[in-house]
Amino acid sequence: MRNYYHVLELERSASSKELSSSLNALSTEQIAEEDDLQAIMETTEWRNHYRQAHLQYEAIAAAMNDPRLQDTLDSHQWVKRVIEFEPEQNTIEFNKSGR
Amino acid sequence: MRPLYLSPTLATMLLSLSSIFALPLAAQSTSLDQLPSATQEEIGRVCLPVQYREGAGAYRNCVQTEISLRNDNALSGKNGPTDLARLSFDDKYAVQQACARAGGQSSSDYQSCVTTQINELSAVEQPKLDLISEDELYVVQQSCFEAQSKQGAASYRRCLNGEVNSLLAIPAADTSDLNMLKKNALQLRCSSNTSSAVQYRQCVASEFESIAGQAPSFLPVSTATAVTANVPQSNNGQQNSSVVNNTVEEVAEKKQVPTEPVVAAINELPRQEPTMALPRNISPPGTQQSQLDEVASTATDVSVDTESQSNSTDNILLAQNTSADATTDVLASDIEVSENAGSDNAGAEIAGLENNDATNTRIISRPELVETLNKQAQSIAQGIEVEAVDGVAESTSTGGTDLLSKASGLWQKFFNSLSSLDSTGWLIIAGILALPALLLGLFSFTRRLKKPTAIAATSNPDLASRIEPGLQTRKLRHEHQAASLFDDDTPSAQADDDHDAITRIATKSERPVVSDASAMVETQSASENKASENKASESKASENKASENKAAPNNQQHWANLSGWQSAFGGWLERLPEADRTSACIEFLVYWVAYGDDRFEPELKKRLFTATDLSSHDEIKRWVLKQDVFAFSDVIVWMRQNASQHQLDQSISLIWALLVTENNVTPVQNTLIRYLSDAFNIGKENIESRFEKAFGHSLPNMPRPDSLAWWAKQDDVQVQNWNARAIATRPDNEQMIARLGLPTTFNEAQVINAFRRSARRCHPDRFTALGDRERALAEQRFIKFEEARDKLLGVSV
Repeated sequence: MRNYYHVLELERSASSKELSSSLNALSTEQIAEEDDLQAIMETTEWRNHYRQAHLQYEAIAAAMNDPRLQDTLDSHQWVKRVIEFEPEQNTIEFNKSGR
Repeated sequence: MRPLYLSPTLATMLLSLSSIFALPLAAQSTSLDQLPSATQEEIGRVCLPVQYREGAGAYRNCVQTEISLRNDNALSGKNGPTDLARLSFDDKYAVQQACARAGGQSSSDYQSCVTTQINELSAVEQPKLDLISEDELYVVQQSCFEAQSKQGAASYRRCLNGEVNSLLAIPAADTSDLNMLKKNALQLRCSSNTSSAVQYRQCVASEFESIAGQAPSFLPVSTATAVTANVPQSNNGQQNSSVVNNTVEEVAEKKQVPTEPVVAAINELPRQEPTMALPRNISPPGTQQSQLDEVASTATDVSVDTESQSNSTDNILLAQNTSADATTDVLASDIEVSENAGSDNAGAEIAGLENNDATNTRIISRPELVETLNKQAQSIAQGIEVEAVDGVAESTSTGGTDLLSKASGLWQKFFNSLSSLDSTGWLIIAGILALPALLLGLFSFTRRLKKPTAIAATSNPDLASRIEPGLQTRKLRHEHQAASLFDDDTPSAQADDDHDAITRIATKSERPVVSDASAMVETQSASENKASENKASESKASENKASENKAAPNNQQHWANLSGWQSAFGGWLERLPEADRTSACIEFLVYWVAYGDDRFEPELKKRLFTATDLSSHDEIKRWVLKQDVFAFSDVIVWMRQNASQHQLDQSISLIWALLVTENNVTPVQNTLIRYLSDAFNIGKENIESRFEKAFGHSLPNMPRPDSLAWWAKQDDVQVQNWNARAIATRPDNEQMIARLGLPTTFNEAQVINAFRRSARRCHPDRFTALGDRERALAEQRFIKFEEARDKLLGVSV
């Protein structure tokens, strides 16, 4: 799954206002690259479900990275699915808060 | 109902048309409001959709066509739709299903089909549905659902008759003294384990004691059969087996017939010795059937006042027992039931004589009854149906068509072979039964021995090495948040906020909790650690980022510290009593899935984040609401290391029993169910197959809420149903529909099917490896499903 919050450099809990300004700040190239991003994030209902799924992918990424869970089955190709949800990619919130 | 208005122009046209087609004037001039209200409603049902689709003109034409059709049928003496309207809901459904392919409802083919169906139906005896309980009625209807939907009304009714007659030959346990919870438990246990009404009734009798804590008493079959005496009797005392008219109205009329005239008529019959009330197949003395009874020569006759007011009951019993078609469908399980009966008055109980009103009865002692029933059950098992007519027993081969009898015969043989086992035989059986448990235990033991080394063999080392620095950063953030919420829980609560977060990674003492579980993972070799560190360092070097450079040395510390919990939740968990930890983890997962869909009140979140003195359940909720992904990870680890495979399997069953609605799996639920199936070693194929079995439809593909193409495939109504908060604001009826996962338009059968599947998912037997709390949650959920079923079916709750 794509990590749109990372692309927008936003936290998952970002307000609509923050979201709008980040969407407006996207360059033409970025918009062309992320063809689904704008539609998903601008539609309230879709964005809500995306936000909920985003948390789950983050949780799954954390679990998959746990050394004690390295022998977990991967019949759903989780390694590929959570690739953009590496916790490293989600340090924005942490960095933005200046810590 | 909208009245038909005929404009002068239209009237003229109709008159012209009538003259052209030579239709009787009366047929054309009939207006809708002159018809009986039932017919008006029927025409409305047919034509209102036409009005919505095609407008007023089409509606008017439709009404006129329907009126003409009825007039035609009336003139030709054919059955029309009005006859259909007089059928019961179930019969009508069967007729409509059978004729669905014949054409539109107004077509002559359809009407002809309806007429044929109704004629066939009228030749079949009305099933005695009012003699069985509501639960049994469900099972009977379910058993005959295929006949109802595919084979026509007559087949459906014959199926019902077969099921009901088989059922009435078996004594029913009296559940009237049980409270609602015990009744539900009994119903749940038996509805999930049985496929026929007979099995259901047998199950109720056999499971009664385990749930109620006492042996069951049995309702006398005589009470049920007495009602059938309302059917006119012939002079020789045999029940009139002529065709019974089958309309709803007639059934209702029959119910209103007082019993006194019938009793009087029966009193005029040749007087015979009173017979025992149950079972029906034990005939009065003098018949060949009764000779079976004579085998049990010690039977005790108890003479009671025959002039009491209970004469009528006795007489009706007499009439029933002398009827020509009193078949002997005693099944093997009756014997089993008798074994469960109490020792003091077991004979009376099994014979259904524990009835205050039954005064003129003959009691047969329990061993004799068991023997008699045994013989009859064996006869049934051989495909023989014994008819007791005037003392002459006739045996008629059923040709092997009675599957139920065969099944009960097989059960009887099995039961007999078990009874004949000696101690060696029992030891062998116990050994065979224990073998899987021993193998499972051995497998579990060896798996645990292997687990520490398995951890070191990372399945996705590349991912691990690349995300490790970020992981630590985020982990610190979560730990810090946790510490601020649970000051007394974590040493890191004392950490300086201004301290560089990255450097805190290196400080082991700042970890929220170092678990005792470290012993398990610390067994990994130093060389494996080093290999991982090197890989992580290489990956970081290639990415060339300042933060990662900072994290590199600290990461080494982390790898030396793998054994600890990822979150403060792990430490909190360890402080719980050992017996409560698995339950706490399951509770965490349930809330994680529920709150993942925002299924919580904002007020709850506010309260939990401000309160200081919380119960353990509230503390779990708070962790979930914090969205602590590392706590999620710790829960998975705990479950894998401490729960049995059975508990892991049942945890997933519990999650979907409590949270997932039929035809409405949310993306979050779908994703988590799929992930947990992998984390709990169940796998994709297994979880999909289990899901389909539980819900009656397949688990949708992995959701992709980041993709427009995926959204384009989603149904708007379905998407709206994912929003639990929105559903909670809908009218009560719509909430019930959503609870059972029904479409906006549905029929009774759909409600019943959805309820049965939902109830099965909540069955306590599915959570035997879990605790009382989990089973109680499932039971509460079952009650919710029951409420939805009752409201949607219009049953008073």
